[in-house]
Amino acid sequence: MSPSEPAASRTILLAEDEPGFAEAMVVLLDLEGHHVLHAVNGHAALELLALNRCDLIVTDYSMPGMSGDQLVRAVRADPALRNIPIVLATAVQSPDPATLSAVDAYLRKPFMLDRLIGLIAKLT
Amino acid sequence: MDPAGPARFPSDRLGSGDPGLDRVLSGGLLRSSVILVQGAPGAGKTVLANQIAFGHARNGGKTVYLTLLAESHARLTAYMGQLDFFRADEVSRSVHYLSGYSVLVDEGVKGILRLIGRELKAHGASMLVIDGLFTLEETVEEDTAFRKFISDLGMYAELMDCTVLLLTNGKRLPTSPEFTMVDAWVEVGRLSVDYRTQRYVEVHKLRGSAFLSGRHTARISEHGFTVYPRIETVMGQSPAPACSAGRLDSGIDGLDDLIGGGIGERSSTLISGPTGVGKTTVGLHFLSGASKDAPGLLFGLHEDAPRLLSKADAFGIGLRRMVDDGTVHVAWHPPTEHALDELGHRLIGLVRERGIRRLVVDSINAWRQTTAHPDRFGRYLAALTHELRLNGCTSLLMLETPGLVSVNQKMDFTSVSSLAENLITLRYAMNGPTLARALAVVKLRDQPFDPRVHSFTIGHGGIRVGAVYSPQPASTAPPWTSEGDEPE
Repeated sequence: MSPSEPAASRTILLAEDEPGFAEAMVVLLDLEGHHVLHAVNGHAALELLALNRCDLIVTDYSMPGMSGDQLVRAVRADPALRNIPIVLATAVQSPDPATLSAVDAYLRKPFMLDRLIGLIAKLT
Repeated sequence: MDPAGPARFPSDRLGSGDPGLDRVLSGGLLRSSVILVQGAPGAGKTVLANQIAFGHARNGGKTVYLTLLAESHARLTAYMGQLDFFRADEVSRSVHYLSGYSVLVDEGVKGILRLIGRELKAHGASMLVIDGLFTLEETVEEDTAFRKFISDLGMYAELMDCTVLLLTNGKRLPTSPEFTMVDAWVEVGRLSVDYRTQRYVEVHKLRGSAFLSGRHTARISEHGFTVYPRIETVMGQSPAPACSAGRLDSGIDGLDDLIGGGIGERSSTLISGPTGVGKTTVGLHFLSGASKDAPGLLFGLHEDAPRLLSKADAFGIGLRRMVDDGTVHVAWHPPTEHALDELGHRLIGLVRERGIRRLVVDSINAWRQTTAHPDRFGRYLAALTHELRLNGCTSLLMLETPGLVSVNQKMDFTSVSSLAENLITLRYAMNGPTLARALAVVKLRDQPFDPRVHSFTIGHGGIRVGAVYSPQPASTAPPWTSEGDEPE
């Protein structure tokens, strides 16, 4: 991973049920200068979105309670949230085509952080 | 929608800096994986990790070397500075030494993770070494916390495309979390056998990949950490090429007539006989047939080059000129203590580098006595001779037998057939008042041969094979015997 140029700070909502991955993302994105809000599933993500202005959503696909595709549908259906860029980050090989068409980018796990950093810069 | 990137799996590899270790790992370190290097103090973990880091630097990569020990980096680099792989100009350019000890004490595991993330990003590093993992083990209160740390490291390895080496001592049980959570587990150790200590490497786990199992000899020298994969695991596996009909002249007057015109190409021939009967001289004759296109090698543990050349000069065998111009190479090793695999790899290395076509090994008894593991020797030698055949080499293997005049030449191998296709025995025989010499072809691969015992002499011009041996009547009862001689 090469040292990156300082990027404009963004607030990123991370919807991720795997704690190790989530903690690593929080630390590493913070080192990139971004502020990360972590939710363990879709319900918790919507609660955070109601209270915080977010520049980007990064969501897993399979989560307990409310899954990633359900979160994506809920965000796109909400006029206050529908324009927030969404990155789907999942190990699932064949996500639902309707979900894929509703997100702005799709990263298949495991992925390099550089790719996500590039997408953050591109989409926000 | 931005097109999906391909799923990234750690299928590509990083070199470890040692070809032998890369071979044991079936191609090198798994990229973006977490590798545990376990070994007691002094086993060589730090040397190996530094060698890997500086090798990574040579390939354009950068390493963060994080120590969790209360040890001076100056001492560490001073020691590494004695080793060939170390480059002082790469320190703080491609290999960054940092201490995490204070962060671990003040901020715990979370602090270490944050430190790792920050430093990997700051230096653009794609390799992380954590030296002294046991310090962290002692700091965390529960196995679950330690397990989580290892798991988190795995996340960092994936996200940052970083290969992680964890160095730890060998105190914990294999069921401990560090062994189950990591992608690879490599043990470096030392084994005491009699009065000797032998270093080894053993891979216990390599997720998603084959590896060469069992212990493999290792050595630490000024060149760093060198692994010699166990010969039986890397040689003798592939089918041998079809037997060639070609013959190589033995260089001995009269012998080729007994063996179908010469020694079969790519074959191994055992030349057995008691001490002083002429085995080495047979080897010198064979090497005298070498050429620039078909060089020769004497791989010896008895006489060194000066003594061999004096012997050749004395018998009028023109070997000295051939050694001087490189047509024949003499590789001598003292008949004391050696690691089997190191010698075996050295032999095959010489054969490949020089394109050796005529090989003499003098002797396999001496070779066997140098090892701490004589029980391996039969399998080991069978693998080596197979590999020599694969490399187009025709070999004479000298085997000293006990007893001087006995026809019962006891051979201390359970399976001679796995070692050599051909067997020629030399022996003494009483011929009146004279201690005569005789030879017999016992076995010859796929070729008729003269089965009769023939006398031979050694004089100016070397060995000459004479008529069929016909002892004088007085020779039937030798006036003396030696140990190993049995009643005929």
